[in-house]
Amino acid sequence: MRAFIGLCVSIWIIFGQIGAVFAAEKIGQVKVASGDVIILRDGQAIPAEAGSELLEKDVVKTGANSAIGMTFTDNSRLSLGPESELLLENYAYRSPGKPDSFEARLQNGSLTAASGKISKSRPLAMRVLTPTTVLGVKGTEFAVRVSEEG
Amino acid sequence: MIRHAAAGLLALGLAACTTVEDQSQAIPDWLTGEKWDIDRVAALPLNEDPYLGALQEGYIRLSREELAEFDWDSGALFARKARIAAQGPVAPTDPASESVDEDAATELGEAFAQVNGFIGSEGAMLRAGRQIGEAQVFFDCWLQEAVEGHQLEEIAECRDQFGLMIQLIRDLAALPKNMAVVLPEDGEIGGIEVTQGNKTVTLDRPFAAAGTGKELGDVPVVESEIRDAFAGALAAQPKPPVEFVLTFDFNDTKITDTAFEQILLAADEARSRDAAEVIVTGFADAPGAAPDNLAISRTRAERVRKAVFFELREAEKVSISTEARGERDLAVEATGQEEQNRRVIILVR
Repeated sequence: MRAFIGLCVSIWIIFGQIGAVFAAEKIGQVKVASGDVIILRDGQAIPAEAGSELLEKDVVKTGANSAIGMTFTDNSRLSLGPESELLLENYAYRSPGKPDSFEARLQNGSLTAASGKISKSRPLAMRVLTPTTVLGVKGTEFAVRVSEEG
Repeated sequence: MIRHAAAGLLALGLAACTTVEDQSQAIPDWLTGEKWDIDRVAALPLNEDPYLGALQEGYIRLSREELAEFDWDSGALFARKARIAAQGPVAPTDPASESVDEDAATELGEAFAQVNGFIGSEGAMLRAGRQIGEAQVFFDCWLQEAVEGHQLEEIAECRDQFGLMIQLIRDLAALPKNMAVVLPEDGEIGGIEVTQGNKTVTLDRPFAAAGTGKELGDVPVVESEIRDAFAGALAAQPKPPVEFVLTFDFNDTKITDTAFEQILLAADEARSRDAAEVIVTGFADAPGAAPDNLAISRTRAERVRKAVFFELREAEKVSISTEARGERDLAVEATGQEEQNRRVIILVR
C-alpha cells in the first residue's frame, strides 16, 4: 500500500514537472484568505483561498474587511489588509540565466512583508513599488501603505 | 483688581530693594512680586520638548499681554503656567471649573476635549507637539477671555487662532496615508531604502517610518498606531517557515531514530498549518564522486519524503516535494566526512 501511494505521488510529481514546462511557474501560494479576495490572472478573476497558487503577473485584490497572506518559493511572505491591490510584477528565484529578483507593486491599501532568500542574494533584489516611491529591501520585515487620496 | 494692583505695586517696590533669590523661600511670591515677575520666568531655559517649549513661550506671551493690561490675576496665572512648563507638563484649564455662559461653555468643553485628545495621543504629540502646545495656549487664552466676558474681539481672536491651529494639527498629527515602516524582527535589522525621485531615506531601526506622499520624509511613529493601521495585514501574515534537519550515517540512507523524531515534528508542524508545503532537500558530504553524492542525497530525500508523506497521509491540502543537492551547499566547509553535511532538510511553510 505504501509503495502504491509512493508510486502515485511520484507519478503526480513527474506530471507536475512536465506541466510546469508548459504553464507559468508557481511562485507562491495563498496561506490565509478572509473575506473577498481575488486573484486577477489573464483577465479572469479567481477567488483566492488557502492553497491557491500564485503566478508572476498576478494581481491580488482584497475587498472591505478582507485580508490575504501569501508565501513565496524563496520563503518570503506578503500579506494585504482590506481594500488593497498588489501586482506581482517580477519574480525570479533560482531561475536559469536570471538574477534573483522580486518586484511587487502596491497600487493601493496596506501591505506587510517579511523578505526571504531573494533579498539576501544581492542588495535590493527585493523591491516594493508604490505609485510614488520605490522601496528597496535590506532587512526582513516592513509595512507599506498607499492611499489614492494622497 | 484694585487689591491686586496695590499688592503688585508693593511687591514691585519690594523687589526693587531686596534680593529676591535670597528670600523667595520665606516670603510669599505675591509679596516678593515673583508671582508677576514674567522677566524672571522668561529667563528660564526653554524646555527642549517641543510641546512644553511651545507652552512655555506661549504662556510667557499671554502673561506679558495680561500684565500690560493690568490684569494681574491672569498675568500671574500664565506666568505660573510658563514656569511649570519650563520643568514639565501643565494642563489646559478645565472650562468646567470656570464660570462662562452656557453657549461658550459647550464650545469650550469640546475644544478642551480636543486638546486633551491630542495630548493623550503619543503619536500626535511626536508629530505635532509644538502645534499642540500652541493650540493649548490659544485655548487657555480663549477661555480666560471668555471668563472675563467683555473683550469680545479678543475672545474671537483666540478662538479663531485655536481653530486654525487645530486644523493644522489634524494634518500633521495623523499617521500619513502613504508611508513605509520597518517592523521589529529577530536578529539584525537591515531596514529599507525608500526612494522618491532623487531623494532616498534609509529606515534602519524598528518603527522607523517615512511618509511617502507628496514629499518623502522621516515621520516619528509609535508601535501601537502601526499595529492598528496594519492590523488587517498583520493578522493575515502567514507563519514563518520552519526547518527540521536530519543527519545520516556515512554512506548510508537509513533514517535513524533521532532523525525520525524530526520527521514527526515536521509532520506536526505541517498539520498545524493551512495549505502547508513540505519541501524535502537531500545533501551529502564531500568525500566521493559528485554524481554518487547527488544520488545518495536524492535517496535520502526520497526516503524522508516517503516517511513524511506517510505521517501526513490524512492531512488535507498538504503538498510535498523533494530536491537533491548532492555535495553542494555544505552546512560545514569540510572536505572529509562530516555528519552535519550528510543531511536532509525538511522545510515546512
